[in-house]
Amino acid sequence: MIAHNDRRALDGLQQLDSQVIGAVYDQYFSEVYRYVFYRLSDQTLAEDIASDVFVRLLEAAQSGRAPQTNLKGWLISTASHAVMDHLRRKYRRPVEAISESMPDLGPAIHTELDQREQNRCVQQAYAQLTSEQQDVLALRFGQGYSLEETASHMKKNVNAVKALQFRALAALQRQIGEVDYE
Amino acid sequence: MNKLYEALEEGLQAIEQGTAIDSIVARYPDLADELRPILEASSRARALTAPDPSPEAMRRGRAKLLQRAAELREAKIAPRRRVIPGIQRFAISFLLAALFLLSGTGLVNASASALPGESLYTVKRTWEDMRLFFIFDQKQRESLKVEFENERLHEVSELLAEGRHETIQFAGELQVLKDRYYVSGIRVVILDSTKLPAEPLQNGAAVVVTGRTNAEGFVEAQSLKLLPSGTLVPEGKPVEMDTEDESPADSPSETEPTPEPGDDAGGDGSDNQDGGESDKIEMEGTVETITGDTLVINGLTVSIAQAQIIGDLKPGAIIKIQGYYDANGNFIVTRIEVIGSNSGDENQNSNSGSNSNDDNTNDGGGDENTNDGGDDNSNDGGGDDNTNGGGGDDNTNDGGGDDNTNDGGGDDNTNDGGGDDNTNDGNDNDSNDNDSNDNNSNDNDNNDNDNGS
Repeated sequence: MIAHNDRRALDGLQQLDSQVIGAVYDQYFSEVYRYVFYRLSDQTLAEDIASDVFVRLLEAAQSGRAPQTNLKGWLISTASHAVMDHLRRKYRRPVEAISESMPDLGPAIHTELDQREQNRCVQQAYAQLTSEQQDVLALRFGQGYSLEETASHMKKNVNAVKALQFRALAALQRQIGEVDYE
Repeated sequence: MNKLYEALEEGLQAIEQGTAIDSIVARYPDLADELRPILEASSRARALTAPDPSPEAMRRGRAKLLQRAAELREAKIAPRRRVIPGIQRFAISFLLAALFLLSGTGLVNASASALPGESLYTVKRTWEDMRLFFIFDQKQRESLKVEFENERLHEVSELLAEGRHETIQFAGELQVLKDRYYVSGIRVVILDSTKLPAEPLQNGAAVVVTGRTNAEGFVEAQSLKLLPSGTLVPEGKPVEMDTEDESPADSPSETEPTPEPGDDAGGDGSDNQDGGESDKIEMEGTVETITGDTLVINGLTVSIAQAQIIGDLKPGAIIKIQGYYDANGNFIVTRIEVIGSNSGDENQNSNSGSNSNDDNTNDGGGDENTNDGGDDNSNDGGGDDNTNGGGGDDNTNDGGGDDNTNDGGGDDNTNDGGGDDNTNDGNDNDSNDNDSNDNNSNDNDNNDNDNGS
């Protein structure tokens, strides 16, 4: 597939070649979608934002501002910006306090429904993290990227990412714990 | 602390390979207490994985993308300025040419001060197109184009001054000051629905704004697009820092940037409106030749018989001229100001370009410092950083409880002071060492935030 070669894919995007555009979309859409979904836990939003990212790519390629090499990196980082834009708009409205909206989870729950509840609780805890912490968790655990890959997406060195992921997990644990043991 | 970070990373890799948390923790007896909850959190974070998008969602996104591609293809064929469909435009041009032949330039003159939404406005724009059409000299064409872009800018300030609601499109240079956007001196408000480019909006970028003017004295942007860097756009006037106190509720005249003498986008527009004379045009350039009462600037021959001359006018001088086109299409200069000489050629030219933006130039050098200053917008006249600090970021991030602190100097300290604090309490002091790494990347993020603000 043409899109395997980023350089050629970009040429195709610039020339608005429908086939190339479709190929790039097919190759990367799921990945971008999963990233946004992980960060926002909202299907409709993830669809909207992910498809918007590809529109932006097209527009960027048109004005010659598209990435020179790493297409995936560009897409994920644009998705990350789009998520932050969304959150920023959302935060303009007051946010519910976490302790009020979180269900009180009893000990040892095993049914599927409870599992989903528990995931919801983790999602809410996750939403309380800084966007950078969210980002590192989304890349490492949502996308399953390696430490090095995560570092390159976040434009950091690996040591910084090690520290960041530690703090992100510690923060997540604390947020969850706040609910569990309340 | 580094040991703990390392242990975590090794543990995460082991979990991926199927090792149980218990046996990982057993490898680090001295760190076990701290490591276990973190590894458990990682399992929970992993459990949050997202599903694949539904085929329907894939189709929708694909259709949207291809639709956009089709639009872009169309836009490529039709130049940006064409708002009226080609054939209709051609018909109007033809009609106009006939009218022109029959009645002289009366109608065209009458349309010179027309604004978007007025009936003569079409005549004005068509007349502009015709003039461009009949000029074959590339240089003259370019300068005429710039002049017309200036005219767009002028029209927008007129509309704002009158508090009218019209759909407009104009090009200019973007300036971001204290969370506010100005395009060549015109206040542009970015709404939630505004279409923005993917890249961060940076000071000095050439942009095209499509939007509506309103009675509050600013333009509500519908879309903002970046032009390729280096595109010639009207500069307008730089917005001074003292505009910070303005509020959208101010009267239009206040909202408008402080007029400076001779600035076209500013106050003299109303005169034109009242007097019905030709609009004033301003341009900058290098004097190519001077012959008696005429002067050649940017490839355009202009008449200086009536001009007030400030400074030493000679070939090679960089000048700013003001004037108008008379009924015969001659450019009559009313005022010449020498703003530099061209002994250093190219360099000089670029200097003159930035004269109007002194602040920016000064600040450009001190990026990092400015940034270190944190939120201090008053330092931000210049490059990226003011975008960083001045954007909507801080507030928003504050709302989120976290990232605001990224703007500060010694990030993580501050970071910890923010929403995170409790979480990080255990680690704070130790993690400071690693923070120098974080700083850089934090800055990047801020930059990006501006996309949507």
